[in-house]
Amino acid sequence: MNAPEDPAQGDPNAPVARALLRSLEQQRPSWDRAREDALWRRTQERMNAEQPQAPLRLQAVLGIAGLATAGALAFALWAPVETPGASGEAAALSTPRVAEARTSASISGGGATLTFDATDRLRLPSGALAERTSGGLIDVVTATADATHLRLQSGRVSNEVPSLRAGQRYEVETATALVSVRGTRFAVAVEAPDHTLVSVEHGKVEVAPKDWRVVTLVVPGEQRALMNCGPSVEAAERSTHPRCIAEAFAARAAASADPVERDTLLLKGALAASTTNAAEAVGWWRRARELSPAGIHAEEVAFRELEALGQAKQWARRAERAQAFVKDFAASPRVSTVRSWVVPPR
Amino acid sequence: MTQGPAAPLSRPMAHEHPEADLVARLVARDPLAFHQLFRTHAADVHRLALRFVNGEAEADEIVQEVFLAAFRYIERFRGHARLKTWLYRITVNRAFKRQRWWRRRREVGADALPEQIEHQPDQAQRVESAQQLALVRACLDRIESKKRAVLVLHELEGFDTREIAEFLDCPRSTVLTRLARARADLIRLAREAGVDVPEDGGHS
Repeated sequence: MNAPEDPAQGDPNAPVARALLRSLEQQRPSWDRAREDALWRRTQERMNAEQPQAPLRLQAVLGIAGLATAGALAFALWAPVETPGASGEAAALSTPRVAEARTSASISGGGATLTFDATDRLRLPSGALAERTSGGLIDVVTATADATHLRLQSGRVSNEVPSLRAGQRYEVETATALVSVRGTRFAVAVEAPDHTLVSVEHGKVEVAPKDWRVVTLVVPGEQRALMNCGPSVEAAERSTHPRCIAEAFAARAAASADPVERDTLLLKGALAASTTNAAEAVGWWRRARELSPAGIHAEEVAFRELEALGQAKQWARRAERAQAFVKDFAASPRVSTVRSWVVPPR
Repeated sequence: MTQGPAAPLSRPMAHEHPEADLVARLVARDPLAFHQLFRTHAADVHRLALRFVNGEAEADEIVQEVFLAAFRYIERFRGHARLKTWLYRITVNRAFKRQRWWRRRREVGADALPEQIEHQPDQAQRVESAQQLALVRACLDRIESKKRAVLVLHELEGFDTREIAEFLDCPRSTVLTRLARARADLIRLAREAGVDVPEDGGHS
C-alpha cells in the first residue's frame, strides 16, 4: 500500500492519520460494466460534439430531412381534418362527426366501448382528433363539446386537441394515470395493464398518477412512463428499477420542507431516471431545474439537462438551454463545454 | 497492449515507450483506441475522483472531463510518463478546479452533494460509524487542496511520493512537506470536530 521509501518515518502523526483514514480507505465506489458503458457513451458524445465526423454530419443532414418529412406529415395529418361544426355547442356523444373513419366505427352513448382499427381516426365533439395506433380498446366516458374523457384500456391513442377555452377539458385515463391537456398533440399508451406511457409532441399535458406519485407536466419531446412501482413510496424505494427509484425520490422531494434536502432529492431522482431513456430523462431534468432554479444543485441539474437533451438529439432545445446556462453559470468550469452547444449541430 | 496500426506520431515520444502503439492510435484519433483507454483506466480515474469530490455524480462528471481532455490534448502527451499517470494528473487538476469553483459558489455546496444514488438501508448499528466516517471525510475536505491531494494520493491511493511529485508536477521534497502538514491538519481538525482520534494509530 505505502511507498517503499516510507515518508512516514520520523513523522509521529503518520500512524494516527492513517488510522483516521482507514475507514475511508475501505470505501469503494460502485463501478460496474453498466456504469462504464453509460459513461463511455456520454464521453463519446462529447468527443463527437467537439470533432464532428462524417457519419455524424450525415446523421445531422438526415435528421433535418427527417424533421422536414415529419413536419410535412404532421401538417398533412392535421390540415385535412374537418373541424367540427358544433363549436361551443354541447354536441352529444351520440352525434359526433367521425372524420376519416376507415372502418365502421360506431359510437353510442357515454360509457360505450369503441374498438378502433389500426388506421381509425375519430373526430370528437370537442374538435379533438383521437387516433388509435396500435390496437386496443377505449371507453368513451364523456364526449361533449366541452368535455372529453377517454379511458384507455389497452393499446395506444394519439390525440390532437385544439386549444381549449376556459372550462373545456380533455382527459385520457388509464389504469395508472389521468392525463389532462389543454391544446396539444400527445399520445397515451397502455404498454401493459399497469404500465402507461405518455409522450407529447406539442403543447403540454398534465400527468396525474392515481397513487402516491407526483403530478407532473410533460412538454414536447418528453415522455413520462408510469409502471408498477408498488403501493407506496417505501415500496418504490425497495425497487431496483430506476424509474421507481426516481418516482420515490420525486415524491420525497415534494414532501420535503427543507430546501437543501428537496434539491438533493430532485437531483437524485433525475439521476436515477436518466438511466431509463432520453425522452424521459429530459423531462426529469427539466422538472428538477424548474422546481429549483436557484437551488444548491442548479448548475449540476442544468448541465445534466443539457446532456440529456443531447442524448435525445433535441438540438434546438439544447442550444436554447445552453445559452441560458452560459448566462446563469458564467463561472462554471463547464461553461467552455456548454458554449460549444449553443449552436445546434448542422 | 493491443497492437494497432503504426500511425505516425505528431510529436516525438520517449524512446521505446511501452504504450507507444496505443498513443500513436490515440493521436490518430482512432475511436477504438479511445475506447480502450477508457476501459483500461476509467474505473481508476473514477475512484480517484471520488477521493476529491462529493458524490458519484460528480465523479462521473470528472471521468468524462478527463477523457475528453485526453481526447483534446493527446498530442501534448510526450511519453515521459505512463498514460495512467497522465490521466491521474488530469483527474487531480479537474477535481481541484471543481473544488475551487464550488467553494467560490457557496459554502455548503460540497457538503450538500449527494453521496450515492443507491439506497442505503437504514441500519442503526452502522449509524455511529457512518457519522464518524462522515466527520473524517468532512475534516479531509477542509484541508487545503494541495496538501489534501498528497495525503489522499499517498494514504488512500497508495502512490509513493515520487509518483505524486510527477502527478502534481512539483519536487518530491514539496510532496513530503505537504504530506506532513496534511497529516497534522487532519488530526487537528478531527479533534476539533470531536472525532475519536487514536493516540498511536491503533484501531479506534
